[in-house]
Amino acid sequence: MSHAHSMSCRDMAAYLSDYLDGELQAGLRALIDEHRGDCPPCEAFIRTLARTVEAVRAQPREPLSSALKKSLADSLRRARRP
Amino acid sequence: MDPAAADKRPGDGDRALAEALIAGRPEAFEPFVERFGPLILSFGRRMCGQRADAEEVLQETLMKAYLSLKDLRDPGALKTWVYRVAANACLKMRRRGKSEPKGEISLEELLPRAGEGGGPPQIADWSNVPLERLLQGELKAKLEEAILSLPKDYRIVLVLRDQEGLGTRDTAEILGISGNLAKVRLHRARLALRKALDGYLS
Repeated sequence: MSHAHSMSCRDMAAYLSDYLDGELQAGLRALIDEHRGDCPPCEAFIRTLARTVEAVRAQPREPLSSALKKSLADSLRRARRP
Repeated sequence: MDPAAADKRPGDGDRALAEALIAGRPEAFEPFVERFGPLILSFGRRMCGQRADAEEVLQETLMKAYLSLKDLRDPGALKTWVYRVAANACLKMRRRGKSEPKGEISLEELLPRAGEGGGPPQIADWSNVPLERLLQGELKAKLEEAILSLPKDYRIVLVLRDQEGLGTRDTAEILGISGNLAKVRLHRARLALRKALDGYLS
């Protein structure tokens, strides 16, 4: 990514997780907002990174059976110190 | 702060639970398992890849966390306490039948290269792939494989932040690293997963 912007594509790349997590200070956020509007490759990069994070977050939890829960609680009870 | 909100801070339920466990009340074991069993089983499965290993991590974690509770200074911090025990259990366990990916993830390899003639890179925008498609079949397997291919130090940050939903500060505390390092590892792990999906979808 080589065109001239107030923030280069490469400089911007380091901030993208903070940007997506809403943890970036307002000034930097505004620079990225401006940059992505003018730079289709960065726009696609940010959108696909966001989709990746959504997919990781949406992975379902592992089911835990009542039998295993009971066995775990029983072990703890046995380990309880008088 | 709204007084009602102050009365019900997150961690208050955990504080009561930790205090009941420390006091040795037997009726606290079921709620303890109910609260942390599903969390740590998923954490273990995501870290180790195998259900059997995840169950081992779960058993070891609940027992060790319970037996060491007397060392817990702030009972409201029960959740990070349990995750810390789980993280140690996962970090010392070798993945069954697999060699563990090692090393660091270099940022350079994860960013797009310039296009032909040094022009802008071509980046496919597959962000409109439905989430349901990413969560089933081949794509689900691809994503799980990519997560398990991350070096453990990176995988554990990704799992704690993006799958277990913990914040930067708690994640850093659990792993005994700086918040900044936790952020760097999370970012590189995400970029590596994006690249893996990109190789498949673009």
